[in-house]
Amino acid sequence: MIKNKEILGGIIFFSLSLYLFYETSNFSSTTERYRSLGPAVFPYVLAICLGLLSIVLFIQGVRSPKAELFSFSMKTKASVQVLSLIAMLFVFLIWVEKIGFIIWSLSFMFLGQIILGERRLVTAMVLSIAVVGIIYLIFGFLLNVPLSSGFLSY
Amino acid sequence: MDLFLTGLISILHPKMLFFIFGGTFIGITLGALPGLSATMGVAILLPVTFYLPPEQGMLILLGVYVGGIYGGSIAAILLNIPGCPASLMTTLDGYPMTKKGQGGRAIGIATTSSFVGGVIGVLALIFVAPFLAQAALSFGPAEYAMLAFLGLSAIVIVAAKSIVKGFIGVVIGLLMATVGMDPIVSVPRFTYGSIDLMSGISYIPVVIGLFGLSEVMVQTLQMKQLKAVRQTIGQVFPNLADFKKIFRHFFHPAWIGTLIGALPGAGASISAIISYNRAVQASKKPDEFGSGIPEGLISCETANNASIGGALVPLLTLGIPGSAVTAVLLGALMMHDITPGPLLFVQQPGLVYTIFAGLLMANLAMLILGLAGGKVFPRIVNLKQSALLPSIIVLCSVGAFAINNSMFEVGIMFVCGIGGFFLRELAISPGPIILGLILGPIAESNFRGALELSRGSLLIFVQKPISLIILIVTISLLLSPFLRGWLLKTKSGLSAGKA
Repeated sequence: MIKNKEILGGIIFFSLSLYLFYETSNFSSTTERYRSLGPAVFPYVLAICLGLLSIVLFIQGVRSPKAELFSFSMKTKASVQVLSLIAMLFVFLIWVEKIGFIIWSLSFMFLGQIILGERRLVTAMVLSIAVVGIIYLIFGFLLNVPLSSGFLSY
Repeated sequence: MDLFLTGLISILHPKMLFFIFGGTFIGITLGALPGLSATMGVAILLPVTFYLPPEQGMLILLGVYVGGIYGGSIAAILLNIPGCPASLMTTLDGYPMTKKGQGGRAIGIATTSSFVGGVIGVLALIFVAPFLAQAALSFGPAEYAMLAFLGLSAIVIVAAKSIVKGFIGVVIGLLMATVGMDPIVSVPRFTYGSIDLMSGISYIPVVIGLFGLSEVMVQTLQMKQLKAVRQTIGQVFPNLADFKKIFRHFFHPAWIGTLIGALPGAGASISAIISYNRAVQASKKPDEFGSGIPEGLISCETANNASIGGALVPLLTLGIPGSAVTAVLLGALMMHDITPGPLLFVQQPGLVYTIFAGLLMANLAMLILGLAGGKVFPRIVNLKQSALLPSIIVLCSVGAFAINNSMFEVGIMFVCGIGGFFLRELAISPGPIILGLILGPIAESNFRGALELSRGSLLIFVQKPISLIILIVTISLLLSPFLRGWLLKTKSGLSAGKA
């Protein structure tokens, strides 16, 4: 029974340590002669440390009173806003090379403001153009970062 | 002295001054916004500095650092909300002064005290660092490995609410550092056939994700438009009586700030708390503290800015950052293939003294901008978060891309941002993760190097005197919370017995 975040964390980190322990055993055997100081030693020690720490965290969780798993509720407006921003960022990052930096950042800025409660569309648009303009000026022109133009380059 | 003068002359170039003043301005702006810290400012500006020569890049970041620590006082004084953790104590006397209609006066005193503290911190850095670096020149792999473990332990004690969670953060960072080619025998580890992972996980997108994106997520959850600053600010420039007060009370906060800042793991927030408490204890009228008196403001604002110079002592001389922001600064130096440590003073003294002179200039920039813009900066807190937060996400994404012109880095930033958010939910702060990631290769290669020298014997770490001393300090540091708890229990037990 997961009654608080310490127990959940303990289980996740213990599983991760087991996986890491298994994974390090698969490191190249050509360095077997270096085994005592080889490439697996440090990750091995770290996996053991993580395992031990996760057990302590789990025990702390068992001793602690029952509590909410997250400090925020998934039903609040703010959590929907965070989820929307992250989902939009994920989708936009997949498309950025096709649509180009300018269209991507302008759309993200504009929609981001709407998601966060800006109701004045003209203000949101003006701010988006201003912010993207400054970022493009710094990275694109001053620092010569090759920001993708996407379909605008055709 | 010649080297310092050369550094001073180099920063007087208009371009350098532009970077210092620009960085300080950005720092004050970010610091003044509650929730946005100096660390976040340094993290999101890292990619910008990647394209500049190291001196110029470092001057921007130092400006952000100095400005960010000071900027936090503006929201603390006017809104009773610390702009950053370092200005927590500033609320105690700053806000009551605003309520008395002395907001401008409080900002003026905070600005001047921050300047005085900042300059003393830098002077301490200039005089102490070269000697410490000289002493550290004899360090070998055993000493460096122990130093890395000391740095990791220190951040666990201070940055994390729980030692277990702090260590989990450090181990996660160290594990992330093992991704890529093994530093000694060049065997791929955790690369899963990915060419991008062969060169390891770059810490810059991790820093941007953990301090930028995840912070935006937290801020969005807590988003509320702050009440607009409409009260009369009044005169900002301190009058003669306030100047006299500052010069009468700056000494103790300045040395406390510098000393506490230099301790690995401690920083601006702790130095401000200790300095404020000392000022209360030393005062003939302790009851007046908290009612809006300049002495309270001077004690914490001088100390938190003095800690900046102190914090750079272990970073530059030993390569050990003691806090999240100095860990990011370490990352900035390493991004330019510069490894802080004693050899830096021998190999690149020009850069070291440019940093010293730049830090002095950043304090001057903070004084000028703070006093001249004392009526403008308070309006920053009126900035709409609905515009600010998406702007930071765009900046984080473009910044992560700019490091290698690769979407892979943006992906790492994205994953670390979301991962960092959930780790924060578990009360695992990003500082130990970043420090683990940055110090991981140093710790591993020196640890294994030392064991190679000793043919696998761990005794090498106790047979070398300096290594042994650092080990004892590390163990004492780790035991300190338990000892403190035990002492408190004993004390309360004794008082209960007497009663």
